Amino acid sequence: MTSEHRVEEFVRRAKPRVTTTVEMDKRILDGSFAAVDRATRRGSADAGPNIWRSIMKDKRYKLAAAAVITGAILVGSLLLFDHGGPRAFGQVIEKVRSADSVSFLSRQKIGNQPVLVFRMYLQGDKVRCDLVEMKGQAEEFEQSRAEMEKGKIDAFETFVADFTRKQVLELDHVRKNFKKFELSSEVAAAFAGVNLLEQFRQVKPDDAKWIEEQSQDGRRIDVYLITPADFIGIKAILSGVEAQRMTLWVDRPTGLPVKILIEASLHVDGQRTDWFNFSDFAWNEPLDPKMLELEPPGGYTPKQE
Amino acid sequence: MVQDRILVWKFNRGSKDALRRIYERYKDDLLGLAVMLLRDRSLAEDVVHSVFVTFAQSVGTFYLTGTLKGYLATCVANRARDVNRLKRGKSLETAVAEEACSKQDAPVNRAMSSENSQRLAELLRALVDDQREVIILHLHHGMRFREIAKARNVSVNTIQSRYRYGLEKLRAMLNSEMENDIGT
Repeated sequence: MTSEHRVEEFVRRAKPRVTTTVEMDKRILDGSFAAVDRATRRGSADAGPNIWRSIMKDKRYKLAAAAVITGAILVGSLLLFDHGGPRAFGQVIEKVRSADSVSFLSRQKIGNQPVLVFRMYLQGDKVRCDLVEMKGQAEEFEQSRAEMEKGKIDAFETFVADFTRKQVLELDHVRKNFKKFELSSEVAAAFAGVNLLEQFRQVKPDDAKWIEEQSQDGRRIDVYLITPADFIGIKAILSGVEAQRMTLWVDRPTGLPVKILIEASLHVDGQRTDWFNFSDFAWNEPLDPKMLELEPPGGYTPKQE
Repeated sequence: MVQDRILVWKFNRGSKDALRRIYERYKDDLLGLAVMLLRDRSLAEDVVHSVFVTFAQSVGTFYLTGTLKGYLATCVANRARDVNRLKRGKSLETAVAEEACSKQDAPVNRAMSSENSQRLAELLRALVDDQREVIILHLHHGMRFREIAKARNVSVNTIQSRYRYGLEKLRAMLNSEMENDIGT
């Protein structure tokens, strides 16, 4: 026995086969269930289980939630302006409403979670999120990042959701595997149940302020600042919101948003000041239908659990 | 991985069935880890019990960053480390007496079915906690060095060093055993 490899092999093979007993199972499960009951009672005295809080802690649902939020912002913010904003946005609203598709780059920071950067594509009830960066988790993504730098992959993971069919496809581009699953009715209902447009309608016109005109790459951009109490219903999504504001950059020639920044002072797990930043909008550019398919590309194998 | 995340999501919604499934999924692995680290079936069961009750208390607020198996294994390793510290803190006399009882009852023998497992357990006792832990977590439970480093809040290099030194000690002991066998 000389090589390190053989020692490793010996250790692996000598792994004990230990099994629990019925008595042990009962003792632990009884104790655990009692702990759940205690914690639930204690929790209900505070805020109670919050489905959105759970969703936002789950990467997959978080991405979808961000897409839903964004879609509502795009339409809702324009409705807001239509009710008395400094510019006439009637035509713009129609453009957004009749848009076939939109893609954009999204960055978001929530609590102590890493900054998520993803490309998003929305069309109808379908959403595609390509996770392209998770800043703050450099080590975990070392291998994936290397693959991306070599140009072998365009994204770490992809998440395609069809909210009508309640189906989801998850692709791991590094390991070339996929997983299909159904969105539970509960989660799908949670997404559908946030009537963001209605919340927008409750915002007072005075909440929208035209700030300035900017020039970007020779294009004229109008900048607006919106500071209502809860303009996108974010309180329903993240608990502990204390203040929020949205800055909107609108391309004057097309009348369509080119950048949106939402800043919210939140209290999530003891952390504060979170933001969503949406940019690089591309409106009505034809999306490859394959991008929104719930079928994996060739060469991908089912993910082994 | 996705299955775990769904179970965690359900668990956070208060599902006891999800908690049961998580337990069923990892109980044997976690008990095996505790047995290897503690060499005492009874203490190992207490550690697994403690880990699951604490996990259950986090319902509604539990946030999974890595793998669930890795998280639970790290919790078991942490508890086992505390128990080992407590054992070392006892008087030598008590420890010797307990060791004698432990050998008499040989509970670990029942827990470890194979001769190799018992032999490995004996060898691992010669290692310091840090080395033993990283070897077991890596080789028996498939945790990556990066994952262990994150859980231990130390650098990957530190974990890899512990692993290498631990493995080197094991190798030396195995070589020594072989030489003794040949000598006799």
